[in-house]
Amino acid sequence: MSKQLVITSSPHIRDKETISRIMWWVVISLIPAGISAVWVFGLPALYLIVACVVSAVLTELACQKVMGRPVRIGDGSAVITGLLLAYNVSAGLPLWMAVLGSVFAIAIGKQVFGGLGRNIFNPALVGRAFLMASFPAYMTRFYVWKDGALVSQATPLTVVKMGGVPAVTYKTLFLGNYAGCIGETSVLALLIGALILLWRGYISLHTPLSYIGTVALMTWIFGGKAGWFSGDWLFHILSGGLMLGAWFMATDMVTSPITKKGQVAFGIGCGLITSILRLWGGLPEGVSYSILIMNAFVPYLDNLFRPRRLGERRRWI
Amino acid sequence: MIRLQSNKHYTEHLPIRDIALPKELVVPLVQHIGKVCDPVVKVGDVVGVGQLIGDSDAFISAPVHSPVSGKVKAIRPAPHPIFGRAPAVVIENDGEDRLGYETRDLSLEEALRLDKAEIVRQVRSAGIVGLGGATFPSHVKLQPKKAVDTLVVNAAECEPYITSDLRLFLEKTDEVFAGIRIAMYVLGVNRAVIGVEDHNHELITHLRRYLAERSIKDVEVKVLPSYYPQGGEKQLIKNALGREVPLGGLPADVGVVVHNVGTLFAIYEAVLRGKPLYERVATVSGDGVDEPANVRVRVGMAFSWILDQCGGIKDSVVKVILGGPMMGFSVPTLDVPAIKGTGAILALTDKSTYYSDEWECCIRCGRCVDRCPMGLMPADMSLALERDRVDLAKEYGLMDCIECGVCTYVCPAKRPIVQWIKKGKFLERSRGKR
Ligand code: SF4
Ligand code: SF4
Repeated sequence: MSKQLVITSSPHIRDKETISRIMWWVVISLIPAGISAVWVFGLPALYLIVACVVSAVLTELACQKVMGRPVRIGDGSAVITGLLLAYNVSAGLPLWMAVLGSVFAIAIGKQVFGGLGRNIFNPALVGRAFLMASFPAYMTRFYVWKDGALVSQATPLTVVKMGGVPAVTYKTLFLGNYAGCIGETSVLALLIGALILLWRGYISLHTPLSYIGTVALMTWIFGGKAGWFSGDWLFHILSGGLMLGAWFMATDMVTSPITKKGQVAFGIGCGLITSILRLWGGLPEGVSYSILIMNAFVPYLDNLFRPRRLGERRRWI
Repeated sequence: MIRLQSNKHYTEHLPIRDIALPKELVVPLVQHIGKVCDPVVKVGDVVGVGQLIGDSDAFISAPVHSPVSGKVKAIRPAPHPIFGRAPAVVIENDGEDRLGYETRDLSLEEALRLDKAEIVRQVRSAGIVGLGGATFPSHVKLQPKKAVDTLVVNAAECEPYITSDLRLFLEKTDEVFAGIRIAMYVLGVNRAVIGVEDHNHELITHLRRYLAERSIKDVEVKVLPSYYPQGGEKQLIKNALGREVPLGGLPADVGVVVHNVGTLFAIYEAVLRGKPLYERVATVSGDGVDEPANVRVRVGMAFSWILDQCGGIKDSVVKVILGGPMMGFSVPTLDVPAIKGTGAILALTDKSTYYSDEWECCIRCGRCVDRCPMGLMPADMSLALERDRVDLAKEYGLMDCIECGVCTYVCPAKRPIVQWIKKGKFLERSRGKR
């Protein structure tokens, strides 16, 4: 009998999980926030989302062709970058700028590093940082959708930074009907997405909870006008980009620590930087910068928080 | 640690059966970890069942015996299921099954009065090796360098499909227990712990009743969750006894020796009956086999012969595996013979096995890191080994890897991590030799 047999190394069975299945589930988990964006910011939000996603995917395709890499636009990762970038800009951003940001995010934030898995920084945040540097005025003017038009409005965090008292209730902050980046305002929609990711096991609570917890603690201790321990921590964790950042960007597999302990340290680091920027920095918000800064520390954190080997002594942690 | 689909339903209720003997058997002179044996017979010699045909004077080695009676037809390199090719003794079966060793009929009590060194010698000359798949010579494991206090009986059988130890333990309980007694006696321990996975209800009930009926107090049954790799030596010791074998150390460092069920049965056969190890129980299974079975196979039987005795294999079979799907070896041809470590022969169709060689970049999802039963960093190892950086891989735990395959199984990027690890270890070891 001379049957043709395949020889491979063990193991001979594999789990069904694939990169594209993970990525497309992340896309699905981002849909509630997209719906909320269109509900709060109207058609301009929809156009931004479409523009960012389409240009991200096309840029990915072009890069992979030019760089002679296998074309893997079907894996959904560029779609995520497009979505996240769109969610991180104001509804009033001209479409061409958004497209430029998207191209930058994929080309410079991801493909230059070697493509999916090799990038150090979250590509969407690289795109956003690029837009902030290039078009600060457009990136910091926020709107809401009223009677078929965008109406300029300050974000609650900006109001606070100016020393005012924001006229929003916790309920509004939770539902998302106020000025801000289009995908960040609805805590409800973001939490629905987060639940999907938790259920699928693609994220764990380590990063988000340590991140949000640190911000709550810091803003409670230092954020109040009436002295220590008087800050409105609930306002701080419900507003701005914290929920979007903590659940969807700080948890990005590629750019966050691989070990659970490292993820907790990463979350705490993000939380500290975000709080410091919000309370004492020049800008009203600090989520995206803090994540970008912490991205750079990931290799260090991974090394520091190696898991304990079976039978290994020592380990201070 | 992960949960795997067990697929034991194919064979777990099937009693062990004998199969016909082929006309010709090819018995490799290396069926164990350690030194290759030299043949002690010549072409043309007439041999009996169980007669010594290959031996070596190295401490870490195990002799090889003829599985049938007949004539030595050739001594030549032949296909080997693990090494590709290896020297082997080809024996023409005369069909008479004439014994070539001295049988014994000792009672357990008599055996337990033997000199310990004599028992160790018998285990060695019977050619017994770890039958769980590692094939480490058992006489070495009966003489640990440190004092031990516990024998752990590995009945975890955590690999999918395999049911040979399960059936053996159920059907030959007295004999396996005799093996346990002998091992306890030689090791000088007064405690034995049998590790069983919790899905084996039948075996657990059976063993508990067995112990209760005989009021055996010094042997316990420890029920463990059905996680892969529960049967890994270090994992088993940790989960059954709560002891951790130090990195780079041996079970004896924490006072333990582990033997698996099949090995203990072989020790019983050798010491009480004088029978060398030339046959064992193997599970023949997989969706590509017509009649999955637990069969008694003799070493040297070709895979094709064994599979034919189980109804043959389907055309859609793409892989035939010696051992389990997680750590077994896929064989290049069905001409390869069964060896002592053959606990299972699986024929899998493309529906039940993975064989693509495409993989992607690591997305650092952490699935491998979270599940590695040794607490290593497989992701970082794979990135280092991809660039041939064995030095870096060592920092992430290369030499502590038990090659269980968990990391590779869970990887969404389908990275062949274990393959790289095996290569990396090989490079490292051969560098050390030079
Ligand atoms: S690195 Fe080694 S021990 Fe860890 S999961 Fe992979 S094969 Fe198993
Ligand atoms: S499972 Fe695969 S993709 Fe995920 S971290 Fe490990 S090697 Fe990377």
